[in-house]
Amino acid sequence: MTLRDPPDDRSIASLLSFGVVNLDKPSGPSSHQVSAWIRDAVDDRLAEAGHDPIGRAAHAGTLDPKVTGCLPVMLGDATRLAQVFLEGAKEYIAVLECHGPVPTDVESTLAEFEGPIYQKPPRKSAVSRRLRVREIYDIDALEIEDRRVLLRIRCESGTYVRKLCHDLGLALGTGAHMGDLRRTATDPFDDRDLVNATDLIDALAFWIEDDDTDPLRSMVDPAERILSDLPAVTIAENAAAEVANGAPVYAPGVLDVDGVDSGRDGADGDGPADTPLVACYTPNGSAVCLGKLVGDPDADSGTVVDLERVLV
Amino acid sequence: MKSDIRICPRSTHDRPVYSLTETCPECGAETVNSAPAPFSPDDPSGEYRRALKRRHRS
Amino acid sequence: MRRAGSVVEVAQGLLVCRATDDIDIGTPVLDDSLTSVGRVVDVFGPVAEPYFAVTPSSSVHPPTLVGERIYVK
Ligand SMILES: [Zn+2]
Repeated sequence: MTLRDPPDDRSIASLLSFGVVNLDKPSGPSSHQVSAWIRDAVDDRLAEAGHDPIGRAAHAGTLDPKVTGCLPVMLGDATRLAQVFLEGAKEYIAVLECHGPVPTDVESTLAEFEGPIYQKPPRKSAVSRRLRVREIYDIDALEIEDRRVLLRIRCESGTYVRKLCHDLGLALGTGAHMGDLRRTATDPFDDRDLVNATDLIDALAFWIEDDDTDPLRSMVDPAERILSDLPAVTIAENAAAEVANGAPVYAPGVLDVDGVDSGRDGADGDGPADTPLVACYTPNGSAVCLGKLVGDPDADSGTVVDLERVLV
Repeated sequence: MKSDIRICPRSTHDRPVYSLTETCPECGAETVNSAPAPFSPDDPSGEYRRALKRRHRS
Repeated sequence: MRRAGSVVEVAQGLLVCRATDDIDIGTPVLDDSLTSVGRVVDVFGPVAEPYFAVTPSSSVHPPTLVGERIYVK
């Protein structure tokens, strides 16, 4: 077992084997195709440089082929962090295409849809079509034209925006469908530093052909970025070595805890709220595992973090 | 691919600004297509594109 | 018989109703003269006061129902 270097000190090969690209998904290919193309491009260049392939890449939260925008692509061992994206909020820019002039009270109808809403999953969806509840955190009309509304929607993961647009159309009385759609955030990633796929391909070429690593380093982030919204548990190097062998984190190995609500430290029940998802790091800031906080980190003994995914 | 969602090309905004119109509602700059350039693994113009980028950088 | 809501709009061939009581997808609905109006095909929008959509029976003329109360058996 080898622990990784600190996130900012990694070789390109190490960065690519545990990295994430905040990709601006192009329109046309499926999310799966895009991440497979990126995996192949990375593996081709790693092979040219005499390194092992990363073998795997995975995208966070599928976007339909026509949809563009924020599609974080996890490289190599970073694919073990995919579950983190299942909990994060999403943000979209959507064109609401009304089938008649936009009513003057559109803002009040949009306001009604903020908060928990019922939503029946669409026919083609993979999930059970039972009625379910999703929370809409924010919905704003950025612009209103004759028959179109440019919406910014911030919502819980798993909300169907196409269905939301259809339902808004019914509530407005005009009928409506979703036009173009762009994802502008999937927490903790957003549209401020999106990477074009062609630029990434070029950056890989500049690394191999020109020995210039700057473009690639500006586009591939250490996978720790995926964990930036999670509480952080710093553990000792020897505890990290035990984690690599499959052991949980015990209280004596815990050096520091950051981002857990005080009073919720440790488990006092068995509900999910009492066992938050946490990320464990070595003292140099390198991620070791994803886990559930099940015990009091200040205790003298006992399990503090049960392993979800080992990252080393 | 042309999207009805247009974007202000200026990086001076805290977050990118989107619009249905040709003009950024916040700064007045001319907006551009928000959809990124098409991408395919064949990438026939890759060498040419990178040559341009190299010339631009040096 | 109990009241389920009232018709607020007609859109995309559906009666768009506002719920005043629990309502399930698939439920047949009636007007105040106990005439069949149609069947609930969707429940959507705010959990506190949801909308529901009804596919109208062939015998009803949807625009005349806007503002009318909707009942379930
Ligand atoms: Zn602007």
